[in-house]
Amino acid sequence: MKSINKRNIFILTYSFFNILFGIFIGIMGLSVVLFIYDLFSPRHLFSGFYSLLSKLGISIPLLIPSRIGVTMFATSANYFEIRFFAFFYTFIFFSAVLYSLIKIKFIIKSALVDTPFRSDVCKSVQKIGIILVLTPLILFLVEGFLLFVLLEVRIANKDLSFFLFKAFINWFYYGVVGVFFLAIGNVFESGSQLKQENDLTV
Amino acid sequence: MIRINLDVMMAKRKMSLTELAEKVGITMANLSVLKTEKARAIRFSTLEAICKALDCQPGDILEYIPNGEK
Repeated sequence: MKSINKRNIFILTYSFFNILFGIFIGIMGLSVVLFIYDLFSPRHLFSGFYSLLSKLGISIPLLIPSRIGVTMFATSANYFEIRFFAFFYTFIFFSAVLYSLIKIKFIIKSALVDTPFRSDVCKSVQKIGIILVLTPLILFLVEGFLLFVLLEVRIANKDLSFFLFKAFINWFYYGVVGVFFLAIGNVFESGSQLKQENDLTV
Repeated sequence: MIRINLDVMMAKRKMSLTELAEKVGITMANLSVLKTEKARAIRFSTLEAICKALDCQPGDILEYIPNGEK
């Protein structure tokens, strides 16, 4: 009876996750379409996901303060470069989230069908951790290049030290979760080794 | 390395794997793991049951080969 209840909970979690996954894929697809649409019809300064947010009436500068700098310089001659880097930035972010979601889906499915204490599941958990630690660093480099090299942003409250501080805070949040995932991955690996040891004890 | 001479003892006693699995009380899969030397460890209770079923000593089933020679 207990195992049936546990299985039901797993199925419910998996179904809920699949719905979230579908919503995410939908938003991502819509954002890509909007990116392409905005690239050829420059009616406003935001593109992709930010364009979607602005269409929904959500104030973007309040949500993403770093975009203020981009907005101010978006009317310059670097319009297509900004769009390209904005697309690149969002592409990296979406890829990282999508990859993590696919791995989480695989982990839930493994727990549902068999056991999570398998070497491939451990590697998936560790990969999510690495992605969470590395992605903010890559995004920081892309955004830094966009703001300080391509656009040469030098405005009040938007200098390099402020940018670095913000990037560090961002990285810290994701990094803590990433390190947590890496630790969990190691726990799963130990569990997997113990299970293998137990399975091969006659 | 430790060599498992289970198949030799089974042939001497003219006992099949299914019959031995039934007598010892372990699954065919586990007995097969032991026979093919894939097992990492063996419980004393399993060893005792095998010795009882095959009417032999642990030394008849387990053999030490120096330097891991095959």
